[in-house]
Amino acid sequence: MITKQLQQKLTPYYFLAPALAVLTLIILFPIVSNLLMSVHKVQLLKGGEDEFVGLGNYTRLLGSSTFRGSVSASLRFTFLSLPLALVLGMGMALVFNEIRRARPVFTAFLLVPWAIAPVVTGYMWRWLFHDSFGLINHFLMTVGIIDTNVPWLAQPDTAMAATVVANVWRFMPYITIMLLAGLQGIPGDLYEAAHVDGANIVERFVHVTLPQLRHVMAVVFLFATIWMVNDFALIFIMTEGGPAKATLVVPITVYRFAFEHLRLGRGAAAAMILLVFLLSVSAIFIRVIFADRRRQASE
Amino acid sequence: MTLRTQQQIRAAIGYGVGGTFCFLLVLPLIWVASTSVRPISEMTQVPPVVLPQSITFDAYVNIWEAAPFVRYFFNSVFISASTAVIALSFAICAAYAFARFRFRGATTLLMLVVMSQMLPGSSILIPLFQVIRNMGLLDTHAGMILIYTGFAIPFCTWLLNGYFRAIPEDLEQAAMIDGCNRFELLWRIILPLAAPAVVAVGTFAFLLSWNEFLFAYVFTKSNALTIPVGLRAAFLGQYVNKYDQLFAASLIFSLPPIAIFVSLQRYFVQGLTAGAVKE
Repeated sequence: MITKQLQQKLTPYYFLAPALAVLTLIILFPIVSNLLMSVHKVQLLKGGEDEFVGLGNYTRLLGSSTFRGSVSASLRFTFLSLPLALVLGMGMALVFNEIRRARPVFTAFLLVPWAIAPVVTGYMWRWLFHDSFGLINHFLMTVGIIDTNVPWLAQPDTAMAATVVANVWRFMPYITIMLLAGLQGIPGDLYEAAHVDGANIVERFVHVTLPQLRHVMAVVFLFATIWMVNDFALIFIMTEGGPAKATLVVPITVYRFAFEHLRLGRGAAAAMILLVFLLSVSAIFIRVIFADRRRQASE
Repeated sequence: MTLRTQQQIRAAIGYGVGGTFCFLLVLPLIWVASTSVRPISEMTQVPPVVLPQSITFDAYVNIWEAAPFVRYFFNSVFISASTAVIALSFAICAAYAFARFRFRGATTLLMLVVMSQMLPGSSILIPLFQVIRNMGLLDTHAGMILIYTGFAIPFCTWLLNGYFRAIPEDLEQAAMIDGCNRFELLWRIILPLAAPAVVAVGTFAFLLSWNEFLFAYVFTKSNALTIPVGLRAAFLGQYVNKYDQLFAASLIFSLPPIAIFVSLQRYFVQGLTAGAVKE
């Protein structure tokens, strides 16, 4: 009888075991190991014991202009892309919300940039921004905005701008889909009531739509931040972090430290800073979600 | 103006603006597709010719003759399919445990699973390299499948957990009286009911590894190289850039994700907005 009870208590763990084993090996252990590496001077080739250096890697990192530059590049990349993608995404969600028939057809188009690999997006925009064969220079010349071809990916500022454009192209559809789902959840009588009260279209947007979308926007903002800060492929394909480190974001720096300069400890410290930043962002996200669940449950 | 007529005008504007927007959104892809069907001479013309003057599908034939590309293609298919099957079976079991059992640490574990969904790949790149190297799995299919499975399990579990919870428990109780054990319940009752969702979730696990770049770039050299990394090696040389082939290959490579996303639209939007939008 006791063994049967014990058996029953153990059942869920049998079901969890395979997944947890993989997660431990691929995610949990590397996180712990990364933390340890970040406080050691890792001897990659010599072998033998790694020397404990405390926060040495972190202080060196914070003193290094490469790392500080990469934090700034990451922040610029993310916080230039986000507002653009949010405003455009919101505009499109409002437009799509008016479409009642055949909406799945329109949504299908939205899914395309989101579906294809970041690598393909990278090559595609590199080609569009190509200085002599690119469609973008050709268009700008034809319209008369520029008179000579701009070498977009060869100048620091324009390279950053080009990666931001590609990034907005990729993320805006996601934001549109999310906000559209949010818009659909707003009860129609709220608008009727606002209309009766004499609110015009702008007032209805500010006083009905925006407050109702607050929650979705928080989620979109946090998720997009995480994904954008974490991007490696798109930027790496378009610029490899150049020119002159202008687009050298933190994930590329981590890769460079570890696999090009073989400074594993320093790379691990940079990775740790990235991890802590992103985990705090996602902790906020989870609080928002779970708090809302609880509120919904208690209502 | 009544609210009704206002709505009609807005709908008309909606179709116009929405249609234009959709066109602009896919315009980059159309440009790339038109590059892939041009002869080299026309591709590198200054200024570029917007509409191709002569069309050739040579690139779509030639990519298969560039020997490594066939191997990269096979690697991508094999690694992604295996990841989907393995991650899905592990996640089904885990999700069932979360959905149907009360056990110590359930909430904490589920929270950790949700958190690890958002874990940046680059933040554990270095120790993961050592794990895979110490297991002797660098540049192997098994190594890549293992990594992708680890990264796919969290979101598969989270989504399946939601679907399983929505299935009423009465069905299982009836079967339990008939003497089914928990595993049979999962196999015979839950899975058939959740089949479409399970397929959708598995498909996204497939795509996760299909599109992945960073790990493939760092952990493979030649044997297990997948298309995202192989594109450069196969088509961009030091002296000649075969842009037509690069984009022909890119487009073929992009077809499965696009087809999957469009056909599984409903699940995708559901999964994306799960928890974010009040139902």
